[in-house]
Amino acid sequence: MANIKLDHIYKVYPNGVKAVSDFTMDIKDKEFIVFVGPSGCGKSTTLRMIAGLEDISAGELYIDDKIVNDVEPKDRDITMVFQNYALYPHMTVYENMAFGLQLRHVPTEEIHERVLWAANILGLTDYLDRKPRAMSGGQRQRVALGRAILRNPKVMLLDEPLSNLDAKLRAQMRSEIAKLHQDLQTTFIYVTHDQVEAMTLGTRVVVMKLGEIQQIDSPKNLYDYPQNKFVAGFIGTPQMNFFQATLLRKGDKIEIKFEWSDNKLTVDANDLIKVQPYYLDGKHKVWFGIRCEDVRLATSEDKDDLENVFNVKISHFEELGNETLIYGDINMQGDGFKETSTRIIVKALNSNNLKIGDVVKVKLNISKVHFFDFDTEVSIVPRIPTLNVISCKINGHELSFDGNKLTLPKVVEVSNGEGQLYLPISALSITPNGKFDATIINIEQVEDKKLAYLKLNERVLFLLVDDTAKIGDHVKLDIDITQITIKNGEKTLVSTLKKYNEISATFINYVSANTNEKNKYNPLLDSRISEVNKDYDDKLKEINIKYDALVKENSSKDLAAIKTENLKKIAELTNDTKEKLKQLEINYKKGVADVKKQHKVNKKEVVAKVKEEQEKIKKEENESYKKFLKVNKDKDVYHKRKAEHQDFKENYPKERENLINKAIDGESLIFETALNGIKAPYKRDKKMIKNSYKSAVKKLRDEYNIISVLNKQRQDEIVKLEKERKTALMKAKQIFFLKINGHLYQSPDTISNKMIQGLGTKVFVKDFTVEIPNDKIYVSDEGLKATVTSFLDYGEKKFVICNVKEEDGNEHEFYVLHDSEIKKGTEIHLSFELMDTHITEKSMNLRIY
Amino acid sequence: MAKVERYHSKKAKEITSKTIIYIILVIMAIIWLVPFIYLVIQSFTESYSPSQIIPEHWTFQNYINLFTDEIYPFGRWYLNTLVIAIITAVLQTIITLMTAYAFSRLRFKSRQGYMKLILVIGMFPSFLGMIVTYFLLQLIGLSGSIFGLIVVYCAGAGMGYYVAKGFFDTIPRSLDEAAMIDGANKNTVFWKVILPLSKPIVVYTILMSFTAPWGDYMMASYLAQGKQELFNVAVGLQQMMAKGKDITYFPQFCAGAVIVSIGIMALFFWLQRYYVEGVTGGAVKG
Repeated sequence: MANIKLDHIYKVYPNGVKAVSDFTMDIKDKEFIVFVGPSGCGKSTTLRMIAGLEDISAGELYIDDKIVNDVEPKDRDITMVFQNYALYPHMTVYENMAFGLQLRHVPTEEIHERVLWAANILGLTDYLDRKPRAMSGGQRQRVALGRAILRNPKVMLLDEPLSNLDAKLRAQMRSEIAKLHQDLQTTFIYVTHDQVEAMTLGTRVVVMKLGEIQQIDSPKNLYDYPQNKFVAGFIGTPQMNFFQATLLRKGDKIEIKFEWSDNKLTVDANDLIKVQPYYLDGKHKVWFGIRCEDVRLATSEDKDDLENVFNVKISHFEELGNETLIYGDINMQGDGFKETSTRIIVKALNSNNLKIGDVVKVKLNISKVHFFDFDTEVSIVPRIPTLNVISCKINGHELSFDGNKLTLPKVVEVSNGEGQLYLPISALSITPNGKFDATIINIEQVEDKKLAYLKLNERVLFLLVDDTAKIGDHVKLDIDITQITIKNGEKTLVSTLKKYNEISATFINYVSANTNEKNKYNPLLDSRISEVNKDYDDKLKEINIKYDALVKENSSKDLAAIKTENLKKIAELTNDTKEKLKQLEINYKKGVADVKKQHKVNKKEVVAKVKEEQEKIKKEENESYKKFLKVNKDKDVYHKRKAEHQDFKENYPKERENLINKAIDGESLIFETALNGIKAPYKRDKKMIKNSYKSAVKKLRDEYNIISVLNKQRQDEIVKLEKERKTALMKAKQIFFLKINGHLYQSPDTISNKMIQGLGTKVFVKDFTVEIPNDKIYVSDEGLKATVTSFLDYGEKKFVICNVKEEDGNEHEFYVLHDSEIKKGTEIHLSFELMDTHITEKSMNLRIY
Repeated sequence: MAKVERYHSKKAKEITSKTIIYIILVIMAIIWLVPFIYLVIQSFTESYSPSQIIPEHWTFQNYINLFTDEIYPFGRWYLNTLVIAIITAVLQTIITLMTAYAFSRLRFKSRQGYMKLILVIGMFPSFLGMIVTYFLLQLIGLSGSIFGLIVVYCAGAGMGYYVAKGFFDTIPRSLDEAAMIDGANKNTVFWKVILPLSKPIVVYTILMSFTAPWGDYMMASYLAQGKQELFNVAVGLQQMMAKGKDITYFPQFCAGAVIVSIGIMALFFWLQRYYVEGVTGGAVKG
């Protein structure tokens, strides 16, 4: 079972280039993850960081809940397949595959078994004794795969494994990799720049660009719900058509106007219900994207429906056999060749009756259109909208929108006027005592969440619901006023209540803290150390008890008798093994001699054959030339023929030599393969016999030396234990503190680890921002000193606003969820748990915890 | 017609140019070979006279004298040289290749700096430090022994990393990485993956580090301080000619020179089959 967690991973090169920024992802066991993106997007770098071939600049990498940032590649239990296979050329296929296990001192028999198993899966059984250079590209890649699966790793990493193969082989290997994943049931991480591989192989695909994650989703969702314009354009061939457009809401209809084109669409507002209302004002430019399969040539039935029809001037065709791509332009002056924002590609069955330059009508499938913000290129049709935006009016403390009225609490400072009400979906909830009546008109399943469409008077609002809600239910809706924002253009009339309180902090170690605080923390250190010592003393006792029991159990045996008997057995075994090895060597030598003899004969034969053929060709040429001389009378022709003959005479020896060499090379390769076929198994068998002899002898010896063996075992265990104790003690002595406004907070080990992991020794000179959620900070007897400035009463929720003055004079406003009012000007103390906070490094803006 | 004639003239041109080239080459070869052939012939002569190129009486006695002569213990010198050269070749090859591997694969601070420094230091003639070297050897008590020479030869071994580094650079890094993922550490990668792939460069390095002490005169004569039992062949043979005011020892000197060159030739012929073998084929995409 291997889960991988990448937690805010960064790769920054010494020259300051950020190759990977803030990569966060959870990979579940048995998933097939594909990293895809154009070259230079950091996908390979990320993979190499997981493999341990590149250092991680910041962030944490977990494999099975263990941080592996500083673990050597070989100890991460991963394997990797490289783009260029990276086979060891001086080893046979068998040795290539066995190398990793040999380095891990796996018993020879087990290696043999596993190699045969892997070779069987990949169809390499016949090639085990070949060297890589005698194999084709596809076979080599299969060996590389075999080497990887052999160790039964937790994670398989594949770095563009198919890009060196030709198209046909690639398709074949692709399905083999898919099958391998099914059979092995391990986690695969696969890097490719080919979106076809990404879509066909991945259970989830990570699209990357310039070191940043663009979207992580299933292939289907990437295609259907791209989160930004880059993903939309990257996934799918041919590329999605993009136009610049503006959207204008006119009652129940929305009018879409296009730049540089007279085309116009008018569609039902319900078709674009999730488009954020902010964009429907006819002023904000958006990208209008539609895939070519959602565009078709208009038929005679569409003639009367002129609303969703486009005029397109055809520029050229791409014939694909089963269908035709029609390239055109929605701008009648455009040329349709360049990738402009007016070019359109239409998929059609054929191009019959169409000519270049024709203007045709095409119909768009409006429900498949994607919209993106013009500047940020982020989708403005999110699957789960985070915001509901409604026009509203404020008069006094009364907020009215869409015929609904809401009284704002007195504490909220408002100015009168019109504006836009921003309601995050987290601010809406269905409760029995809600203030508004609404109807659920639709429920959409998005991944594991349920999105409800709620009708409130004329408006449709979105919120997340649980399984109990059903379509058609009449429900009561409540709005959390602390989360609303009201804006009028750039001006904010009412703002969301701050969720997090910020304060700066520094990180210090035990010694500095203890010195500053006059040895206040000595007892803490002592208790931590004694805890560890006690733990290990107990373990040590256990080992000794176990040893005593075993010694007692064995001391009753007659060891001398066992010794004589076993010595006899060893002598027998030695003779036996010698005999076996001798036989093996005889066979081997005979085999090699045979092959060599055969090779000599074959070589002679091959060379003779080539020579004979060449001789024949020479003879033929000479004869034909002689004949020609006899017959021909034309001088011109004679000169030509003579030159030809001269050419032949000159080139003949060279050609003959070449052919002979080629024949010898071919035969040598066959010879080498045959030789390896004898050598490699011989070496293998010899080793296996020797190893099994050694282990058998050791076992027999151990039987009569049992007491000293047991003692050695105990010693080993004690040494290991003491080593562990040493590291544990070292860890216990590592106590760190966060200094916040003069107070020292002992940093929990998880936070300390992350801080040091992320920043190294620089951690002590950096400044951090600690963000404390306003519902996780409490008024108490000690802690941060603060002065109350005011009190906010939202009805159900009440907040104390107070001022925290830092030592350097900076003041921070804190919002504290509190039940009762505290008088203005009162000095209070605030306490909180560090585990509830977020910690960010200030200068690089690295999120640490 | 015209075409045919041009064909002839082209051919004629080719023949003349080739003839000229071969004549030059033959002359150069003769100039190169004559001294050696002369040496070999003289080693078989009974008594040397400068006017006589082909000796009157052929004899093998010079070779026998070489090893039986008590004034000049050639056998002892040969043994000295062999021990020095073999130990130096082994140590120097290992040091050179390891340095080259480190410069090729590891990325450490001052890597570039070291490489440049070594290049610059290598430009100074080695005899500049001879006197200092002698005092240093005296300090560690090796000034009167052939092992002092071995230390001196091996001390600068790392500086010859350049050619081997160039070769290692051509071996794909992904091989190292694959081995590291397979469970190898840098040491295992070097011995089990890189070295077997680098046979030509290993052979080259062995040959280079063997021939240098084999034919060294300056450092060897300086450290031997005139003690015959510390001579190597180069110093010894020079002694043979320097002391003899007459030319009695010249045929013996020639015989010594022939035996010295046989050692090198044997080594070269033994190693040359690895020298040509191209071994990187099939490592990666082919």
